[in-house]
Amino acid sequence: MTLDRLKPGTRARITAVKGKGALRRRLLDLGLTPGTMVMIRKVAPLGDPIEICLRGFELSLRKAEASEIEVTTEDCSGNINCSICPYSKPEDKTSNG
Amino acid sequence: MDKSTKKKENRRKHRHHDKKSEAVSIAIIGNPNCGATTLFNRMTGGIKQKGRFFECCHTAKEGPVRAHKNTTVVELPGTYSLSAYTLNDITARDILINGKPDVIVNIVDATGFERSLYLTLQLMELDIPMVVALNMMDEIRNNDIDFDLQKLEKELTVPVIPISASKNRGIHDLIHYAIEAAKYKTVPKKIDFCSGHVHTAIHSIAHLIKDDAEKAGLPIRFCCTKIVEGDEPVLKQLSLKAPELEIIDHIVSDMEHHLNTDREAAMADMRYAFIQDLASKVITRPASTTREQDRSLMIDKILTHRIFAIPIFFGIMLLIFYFTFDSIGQWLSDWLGMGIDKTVSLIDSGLSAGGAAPALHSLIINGVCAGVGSVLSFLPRIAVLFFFLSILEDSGYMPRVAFVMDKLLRKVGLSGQSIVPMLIGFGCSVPAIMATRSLPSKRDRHLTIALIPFMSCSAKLPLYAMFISAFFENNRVFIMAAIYLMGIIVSVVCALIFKHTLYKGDPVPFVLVLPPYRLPAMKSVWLRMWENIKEFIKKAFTIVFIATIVIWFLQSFDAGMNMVSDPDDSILAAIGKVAVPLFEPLGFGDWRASTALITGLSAKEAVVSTMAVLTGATDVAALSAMLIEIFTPLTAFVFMVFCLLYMPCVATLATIKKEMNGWWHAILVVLFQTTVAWIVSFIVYSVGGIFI
Repeated sequence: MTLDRLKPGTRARITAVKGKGALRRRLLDLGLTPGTMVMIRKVAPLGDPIEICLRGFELSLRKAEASEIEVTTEDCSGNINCSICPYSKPEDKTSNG
Repeated sequence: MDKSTKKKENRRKHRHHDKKSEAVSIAIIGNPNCGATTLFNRMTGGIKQKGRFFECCHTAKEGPVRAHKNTTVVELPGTYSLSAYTLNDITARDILINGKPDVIVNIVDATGFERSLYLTLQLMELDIPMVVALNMMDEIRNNDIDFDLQKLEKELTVPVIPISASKNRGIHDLIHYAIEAAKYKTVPKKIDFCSGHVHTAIHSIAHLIKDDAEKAGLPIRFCCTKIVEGDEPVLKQLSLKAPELEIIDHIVSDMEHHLNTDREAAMADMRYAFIQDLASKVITRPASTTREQDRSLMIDKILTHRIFAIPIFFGIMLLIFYFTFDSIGQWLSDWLGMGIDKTVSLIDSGLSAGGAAPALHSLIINGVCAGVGSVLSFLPRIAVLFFFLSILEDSGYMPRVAFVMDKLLRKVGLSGQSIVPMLIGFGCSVPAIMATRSLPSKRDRHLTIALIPFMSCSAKLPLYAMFISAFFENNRVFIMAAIYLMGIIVSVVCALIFKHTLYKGDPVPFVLVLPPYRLPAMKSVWLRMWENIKEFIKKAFTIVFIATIVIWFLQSFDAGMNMVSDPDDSILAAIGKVAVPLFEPLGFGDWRASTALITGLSAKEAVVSTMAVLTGATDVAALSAMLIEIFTPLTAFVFMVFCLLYMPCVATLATIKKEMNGWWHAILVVLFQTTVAWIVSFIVYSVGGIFI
């Protein structure tokens, strides 16, 4: 699954950042490293870009960029890493963890 | 002559003195929006000066530190990492590595600790004395978040000073520790935040390139990590030989193989792993979010709302222009205008009473007073406009606008990030063009720079106001809105044309951090407004002043140096008439109009002052009356449109040249804009002629 496919409010864990060059390094520099928890905050009024939350801050990126980021939504609750994103209040998965 | 030698002497003394008490240069660096500018203002009191870093980059601000002799501080552009992504990143890196400041003050946003520390770890590799300024501590304390500063200091091996730049807390300590660090050259210890295979790779490379790094004058540790990341500029600077490169590639490939990841991800991962571990050791939060973050989320729910976001943005812009042109701006302008009129009449009667020669009387009253006075009376409006633009910039709303408008802008070939410089362009094109440095792609930058001058800058305000009061008093709002909209529409159309011709290419990435909303520090807003006011006054008394004298002279004398009674016989008329055929098709074939357009190139305010001088009007009412003789409402509007669009003033041109690297681009921009101005004006004139 890629980041652009997720619905607002979902949380996921980054598994890989694809793409290459300066953009990829920028994403990594901003903390989108494999293993990081992210949460989809919202979609811009016109449908693109999206706003995500990770490591305690908000980042906006286009769906094109988000599609380079592989994520998994498995085992996203109850993990210590989730506390890194102070905003993350999982909407549906809390009970599972 | 005497004065200049004295100055030199002083400077020499100064330099000598510097050496004795050891001048200290402090470099502030941090993420964008982490409070670096506020800190800079607190340290300097807002005073800027040219300094040793000024030449290499005009976006870095430098100033003397208050109450500390021989200590200067430079604020580097905000950056997230030392890898070169935007021009701002490159500038910051260049100044740190080549400028060699005595001490780095790394300002860290305590509320965005992890992301901020990523830069800190890279700065620690530079072998420059360093102090960490942990900013936003007021927010941290308000939310009962516990920061174990001692542990943090110990782990990082650099002094950590808690501050609150906006509340002016801890600044004194920070300066003290920074100067100490510079004095005793306490560089951060080499902490091994790498482990396992990355560690091995870095150390193997260190052995290999030690001599090369020394020769190139680069910090070794910085080189190693950058080489592992595959950083081009560093590899080039080290000028490594083929066998070395081969070994390095082997080492890095080996590391990649073992870690089952690539070099870039490995380095970022290593740093963030260290930071995550550190954060869990030093920070204890009572709640997952702070009150400020919650507040920010609430505001965002409205300002980036699915339906309301775009109307709110246009509403805010409309409100700003309403305050500028109507209400506040209008009242203040009226008061100042009255004051100027009083002063001019005082000078007038004084000159008459003193029996000044008619030529001198004419120069002062019809030249200087009319010209400079007509421009100066618009100062309040410009101040109001800059006040609101500063608030927009400092509040954190601008990135949201980029977020909301990105898709629309992408349709015309721009990026959401282009909108920030464009909004600043309503104030002044020069800072707007410099603001494009935060755009990551050259294509976007150039396109944005070419379009910024179409955003009507504040210097054109006096001109519109003058024509509107003469011709369109009843439709003020409508005409003003029409002009501003015209600028926006023209830039959209041009962007579309460019998108399909010159600037084809893939859409450029859009990755933008949305900082929490913050109450703008009034001190920063005031300083920025004051800077622009100063600039405007300076312009009025230098460029506009000189232009009015030259214009007065040229229109008062003929080629034989005889004072003329009818300006139509003057030298200026002769010059202006050459340009007349160019503007004849646009409906304003009067030589005074064409002359005003030419002087407007020095500064756009000079269009008004020139008109005032040429018509011999000493106050606004008289000027209106004279304008009605030269223009019809239609040609007046066409003239406004032409002024809106035609080539920018010299200051903007110089900035374009600097930012686009060469006169060639600047000349193209000039040709492009003047051609567009002519075509659009022609269309407006022709179409308008049909209806009227």
